[in-house]
Order: sequence, then structure tokens, then C-alpha cells
Amino acid sequence: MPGLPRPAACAPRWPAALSTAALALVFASQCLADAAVFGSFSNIENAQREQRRLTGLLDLPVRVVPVETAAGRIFRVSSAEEGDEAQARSWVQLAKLLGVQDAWYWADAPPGTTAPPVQEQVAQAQPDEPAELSELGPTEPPRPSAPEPERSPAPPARVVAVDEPETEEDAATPWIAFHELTGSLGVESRWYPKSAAYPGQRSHAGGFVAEPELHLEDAAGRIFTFVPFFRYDAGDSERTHFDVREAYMLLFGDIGDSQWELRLGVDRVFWGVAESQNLVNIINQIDLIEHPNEKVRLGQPMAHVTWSGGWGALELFAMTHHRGLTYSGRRGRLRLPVVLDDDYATYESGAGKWHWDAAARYSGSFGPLELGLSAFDGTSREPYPRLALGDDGAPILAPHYVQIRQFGLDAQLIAGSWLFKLESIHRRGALNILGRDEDFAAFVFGTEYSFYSVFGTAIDLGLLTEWNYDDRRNRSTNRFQNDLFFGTRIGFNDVQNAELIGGVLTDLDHHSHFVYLEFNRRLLDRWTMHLDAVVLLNVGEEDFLYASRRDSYVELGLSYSF
Amino acid sequence: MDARHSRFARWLLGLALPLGLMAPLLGHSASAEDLGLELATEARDSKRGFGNFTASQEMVLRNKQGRESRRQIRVQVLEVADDGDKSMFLFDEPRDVKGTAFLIHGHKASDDDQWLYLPALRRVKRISSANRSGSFMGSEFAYEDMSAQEVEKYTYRYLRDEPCAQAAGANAPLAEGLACAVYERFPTDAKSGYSRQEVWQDRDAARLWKVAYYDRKGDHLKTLTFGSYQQYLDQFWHAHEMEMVNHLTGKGTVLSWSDYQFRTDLDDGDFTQTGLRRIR
Repeated sequence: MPGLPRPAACAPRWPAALSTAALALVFASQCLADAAVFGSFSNIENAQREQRRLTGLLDLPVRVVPVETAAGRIFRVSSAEEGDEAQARSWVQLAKLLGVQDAWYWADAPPGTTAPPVQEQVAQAQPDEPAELSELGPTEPPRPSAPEPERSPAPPARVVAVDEPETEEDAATPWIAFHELTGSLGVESRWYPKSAAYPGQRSHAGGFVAEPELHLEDAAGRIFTFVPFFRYDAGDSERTHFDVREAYMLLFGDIGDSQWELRLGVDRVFWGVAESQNLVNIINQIDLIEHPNEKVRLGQPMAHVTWSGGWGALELFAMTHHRGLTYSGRRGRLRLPVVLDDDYATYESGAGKWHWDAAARYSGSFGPLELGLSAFDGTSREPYPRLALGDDGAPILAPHYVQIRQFGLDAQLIAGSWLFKLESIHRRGALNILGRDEDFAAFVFGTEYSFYSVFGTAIDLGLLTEWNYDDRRNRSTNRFQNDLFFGTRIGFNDVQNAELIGGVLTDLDHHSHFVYLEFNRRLLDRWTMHLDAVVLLNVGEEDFLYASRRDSYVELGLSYSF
Repeated sequence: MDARHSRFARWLLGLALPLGLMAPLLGHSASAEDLGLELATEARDSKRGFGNFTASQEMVLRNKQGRESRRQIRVQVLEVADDGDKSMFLFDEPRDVKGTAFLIHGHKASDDDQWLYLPALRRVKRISSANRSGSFMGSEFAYEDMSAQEVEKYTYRYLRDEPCAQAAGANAPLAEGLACAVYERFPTDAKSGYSRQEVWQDRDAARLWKVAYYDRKGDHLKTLTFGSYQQYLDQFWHAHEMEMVNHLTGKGTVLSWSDYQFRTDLDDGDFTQTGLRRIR
């Protein structure tokens, strides 16, 4: 290769496959104002659309240049980097190769720029910062994009910094500056190999699930998020359900050295560090019908203020419209002999589900330590089931929600490959399994150790041990009263991002085992599969899971992400 | 007080200046270790002062059979004056990990702090930074290759000078005619997957053109080459193409950078756990 050093600022970023051929064309170049035109438009929005398309297609900075012609103003989509004639002509050839038939060489183009995102930088720069602007390259100061007062009748055209619509004149500012629709659609099939414990329960449940996410950002930087969720289940009509996971407006800003954030609307908030259960995680109700691991949560309407800085974050919550625990219907598995029916929910508070609940949390990082302190005062997320008669005269369980006050602590300490985790709560006002008021404390304490690149492969292996304890023991209202958890997480670190998660929760009082296994991997670019299994072993009559003893299952799912 | 102070300072300066000028004459010539450290410091200094930037990365993973798979990642970096930089990686593709974000607070003297945001549960998880040698997103880049190369995390030894063109990757016409210093760096972190690295750095603007990685057994494991350098703010050089080839597996990863924007309105508040939950 000829050995002429060349200012790299002029170097086009070639797609690798074309580079060798292209280099020969562009080699001995100097920075001059020659350009390639890829198309001309009378409408600026069409020009900008083409600009975005070509930036991706050609892998080359592309700009929109307004040009005054006899027929009025047109917008040329042209190369934005400086280059000489040979370089500009090679860009024309490249564009034609890639299907832009109308590309042509523009000899008297206005000077280009060296920094690809120059238009946006110009838009952000304040008029009183000329030093910033001079670094960006345009020989003319960028003008406000308002219509030019005097129209020059002939070329050379003026370069006006034009890019995204939001940098346009105020009158034409679109309300939405950014939008994005993503999410996933999936089909699932769940099979219960053992015959049912109660009449009417299905052994197979198939269905589909949709969780799209819409994000909008307006010109003032406010963010709007909408995440609806829908599941159709052929086996259990109660499991067919719709939920608004998120529908909130988010504002944020700075106050001196600290930041504030306000979220108004339905949102999901996660607190905690452990794997077998998250005791402190109380803001959102459990969407139990989704998965018995209690990790999936319903959306909760709230106002949520965060104040954060180098010292950590302080968050305040005000919540209303209490959400009831979702629960299997008569035909569903994983339920008590009598179904818990949300239609018969009762509340200790006279305001019912409209009671205003309050919560506060402080969280901070102190070197290797993550610490969270939380308080909650309001309607319990955990129902106390009361036997009652339904409208049709059949017995049902009516969930009763009492007022509680809970203090929580969660902490995680990192020491090399070790993680030490603790979640602990103290709750007042709760009812025990006998229906009596009993304050209690509970904790989950555990460790996680990770082996990286085991046996010289890319595989990471994590081993988890956790002890769950509730000082009410057999008066406890959940299955974590004295349980030991062993788990593993195997990340294959392959192109398909395969991952295997498994665990066994052993009840130290009753010697039953709750075993679960989850395997995920990508199949194609946008398709993933998961295989889940839950196995209940040695569940005795005195055990909390006794009613679900025949409900071990295997689930296969296929999911498309967009 | 002030006047006396400044008089004293001037006197001190007057004494120190001639001594400082004489020092090179008194001392022996710089060792290979000093030269190596000097080169690494020069590379670091050439990168200081950018403030912050955002950029997009496309990662193309190629297996031995030549099959490719792509990842789209957005990157934000905030310069921190007295410590390692803060960076954020946000995954756009593959779609099933869309929204996953990775926050690093780099440190010069201690382990980095790292958090992972898992969008499915809206969970922020503090993760161990002990996984230095593990693969980043299934690519040939390890976590330690992706994080900022702090000067303090290696010891150095200068080897030789040679033309950069022999080392540089594809699309590197800029390297033609440039002289490169070649030096070794030895990770001080016992958790690093490398025993040493060989670095080709040009004498012109302290740009890197090649890094050869040697595993703990001393075998030549991987080679990283740089190409398509562009200069930003008339000062900062960034390679738009980086290619990592694994000599043991035959696999390779091309990392292409685009859409660099410097001195945006990013600040400390965007690199917190709250910011991690918010980022799109």
C-alpha cells in the first residue's frame, strides 16, 4: 500500500467488506469541501428520514443541507464529512452500490464537518458559547433554524444546522421527541403430570402472554411509560388476566449536587437482595397466578419521589388502590381446596382498597456494602383467608387485608467472589395462621459464591445458600417459616445467552422440598425459549404446600421480542 | 501573611528550579519500566479532559465457521477527576435483553463497583467485579477489556520501537509511516485472566494500534487491533473499529463505534442506581 499518512478526520467509516476496494479510491486525499448528494427533498422531514436511513446504511455521517434554488428551498441529503473529489465520488459509488441510484457528486458543496453528530451538538450548544461551536467545524455559525430573513437568490447554499425534528423552530416542535415500542409476545404450555387433588382441576394449561412497552419522551424531557400485560390461559379462566404493569409519568432534575425524580402513576418497584424470597419487597402485590416463585408483581398506583446524591437515595411513596393477590380459579392448580376469591375481599380500613398507604426507603452504597432501610405503613399485601360462602352458596376463601406497619432492612456485602445477603423485616398488626394479631420478625440470610470461566470454559457458575426464618414458626402464614435454600445459576456465556437456574427449598420443620429449574436460551435473533419445572417432594399433611402436593409441573415457552 | 508566603514560595521555586533541571544529569538513564509507565501515562493523559461522551457500539460476534451474530449497545462515559471513570452500557439488541443496563464506577486503587439492571423484574443488582476474565455478552472481549485501562492497574516495561503499520488493523491508513512504541503491561490484579499484554502505541498521539494478550500460562490468547481512528473536539482520538481475535478458539469479535457525542448534559446523577433504572 502507498504510505501517505492521512488525517483521520477525513477517513470514512467503511463497512469492512468494502474497505479494501474503497481504500484504493480514497487514499491520497485532503480535506476539501466536496460531497456526495444522495437525494433531494422539498420536505425537510422526508430529507431527515432519508438522512437517518442512510446514516445506518452507508455507515457514514450524513447531513441535511438546505439549498436555495430558483424553485424555492430544497433539502439535499449529503455526506457530512470533509473529503476531496475522489472521496466524494467514492461515496457516490458506494451509495449506488447500496441501491441509492440518485446519488451524485457535488463539487461546490458547503464545507462539511468532522464530527458526525455535529447537528445535535450544535442544537444543544448555547448561543453564548462560541468556543464550543468553533470545535465543531462548521465555518458558519449555526443559526437558529427559523426561516432566514433574507433569501439569497443563488447558491452557494447556506448550511443550517438541521437534524432531529426537536431542533426545529418552536412552532413546529412535535410534542413527542422520542418514542419506542418494544416488548414480547409468547406462547406457553404447562403440564401437570400428576392427577389433580381436587375435582375440576385441569392437568394442562396452554395460552399466550403479551407484554408490550411504550416509551414516550416529550420535548421538555418528560418520560411517559405504558406497559400493559395480558395473559390468556386455556386451563383456568382466573389465570386469564389483564394488568397495567406500568403507566407513569417521570420527571427528574438536579438540585445543586443532588438529583430529584418524581414518578406519578402505576409502577413497579423492586427492593431486596435475596433469591429464595424478597421479604422487604412490599410496594407491589404478587401476581401469584403467574408463577409460584412469587417474583412477578402487579402494577401499583403511586406517587414516588426520589432525592439522591453521593450519600445515597431517599424515596417516599404514597399509594392507593390496593391490589388483591391473584389466585388460581377452580380449574387451576396450585391452590387451596377452596379458592381464594378476590371479589369477596374485605379490608380492615374503612377506606377499603382506597386507603392511602405510605412508604419510605433509604438506600446507599458504602464501598462493598449495599444498604437499604425501609418503612411501610398501610394495607397488607398478604391476605388473611377467611372461609365464607360465595353468591352461589359454594364455600370460598375471602381475602382479608389488615393494616400493618413494617420496618425492613436489606444489605449485601461483596468480598471478592463472595456475596453476603440479608433481608429482615419486623411487622406489626399482621394476623397469624390462627387469625390472631401477632407481631413478628423474619429474615433471609444467605451467601452466593461465583466461579468464573470454570474448567477453562466460558461458563460461570454461581452457588447460593439461604436460610429463611419467621419467628412465628408454625403460626406463620407462608412457606418460609424455617427453610433452607440451595441454588445454582449457570451462565453459559454463549452466543445464545443460555442460562440454567435451579434451586431447592427444604422445609427444616416438615422435611418437604420445593424444587425448581429454569432454562432459557435464545433460538434466533428475536426468539427465545424457556423450560421451567417445579417439583414438590415429600409434602406432608402439616406442610403449608400440602394442597399443592400433586401440582408439580413442566412448562415450555416460546417468546418473540420486538 | 500572604505576601510572606508568596515570597517564601518564590524563594523555594528559585531553589528548586535549577535543581530540577540538573536532575536528569544526576540521575541514571530511565529504565525500561520507567519508559513503559511514561508511555501508559502519556496515553492516559491524551484522553483526559473529554468531560463525558455517549456513543453506540455494534458488536459482531463471529464463530469459527464464520457465522455471525450482532449486539447493539449504547455507551455513556463520565470522566471523574480523581478516580476511575463512570460508565454505563445499555443493551438494545438482541431484543430479549433489551433494556438491560450495566453501570460501572471505576476505581484506580480498588475494585470497581458494578450494578446490573434487570428490566424483567425492574431490579438493580450489585454484582461482584471479581469476574474480570469472563466474556462480555458472549464476545471475545472480557469484562476487563471493556473497562477503562487505568494506569495504576498495571506495571510496565518498554520493549522496542517499530512501525505502527505492521501492527494496525484494517482501515488504518493513518498508521502508515507512524512510529510505534511497543511495551508490555502486567496486570496487578490477581483476578485478571492475563499474565501480560503487549501494547503498540504510536509516538505521534499515543493512540493504541494493537494489543496482544497472553493468558496465565503465558500463551498468546488474543489479539486486539484498532482501525478507523477519528479525532473529536480537535483533540481526542477514538478508534471506530476494534477487532479481537481469539487464537485458541478461532472466534472473533468486531466492535464498531459510531455516533460519538461529547460534552452532553450527562452528570453524576445519570450514573447512579436511580439513573440506571431510568435510562432508555
